[in-house]
Amino acid sequence: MAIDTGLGASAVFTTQNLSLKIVSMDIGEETLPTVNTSTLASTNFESYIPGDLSEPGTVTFECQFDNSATQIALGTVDTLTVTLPLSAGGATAGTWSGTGFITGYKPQNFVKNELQMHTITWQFDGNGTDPTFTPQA
Amino acid sequence: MVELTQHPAQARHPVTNEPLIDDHGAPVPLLPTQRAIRLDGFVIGYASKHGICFTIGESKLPQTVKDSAISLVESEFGTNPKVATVPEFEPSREAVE
Repeated sequence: MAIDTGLGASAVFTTQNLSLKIVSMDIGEETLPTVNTSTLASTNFESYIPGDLSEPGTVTFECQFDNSATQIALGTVDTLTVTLPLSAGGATAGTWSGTGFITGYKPQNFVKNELQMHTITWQFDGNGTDPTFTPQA
Repeated sequence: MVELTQHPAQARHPVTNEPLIDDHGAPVPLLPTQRAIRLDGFVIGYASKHGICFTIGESKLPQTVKDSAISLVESEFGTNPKVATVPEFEPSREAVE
């Protein structure tokens, strides 16, 4: 069993050469639509079958802003690798990897006594490399 | 020891979603054009023809390790790689005071 907290996770974008100072990341969710198959003869409940194509999901990163970092490009197809913290007993940490592009970039606010933070939103494209989880080995 | 290995992500069967294994019993790479940079077996970054992304900060990355990784990536992809590391913040003078 390899349960762990989120501390130690990292994310890199290998085409844009981005390695971010991440405070939190939300890996999003994959969702499969449902198709209603109920008829006038149905009883008790609506009936459903699984849809065909899943939504690959979006990932949101909240990061500390670095004045010297490269400008983030929207829409550039890239490969994201999220590396999980290496839990006890493991040699190679698990990863979430897939291709997609950045769809949203919210620059920092300027507030005294607060760090400058920015938010990045990533869309897995479901086109090149599907979002794939590889467990720790 | 610094080494370049295949990116650890493993491809899965498009229908059954089972992890794929090749004829020699090795995992089929999900990202065949990417490499993991390992220091004594631990992944410290990733590399592709676009460059290197270290997943640890500059202060924890000895120059010799960085140089070895650059040289390995250079020989693998044939270009002088761009290098990115996790940015680290130095507290400003005002914040320290």
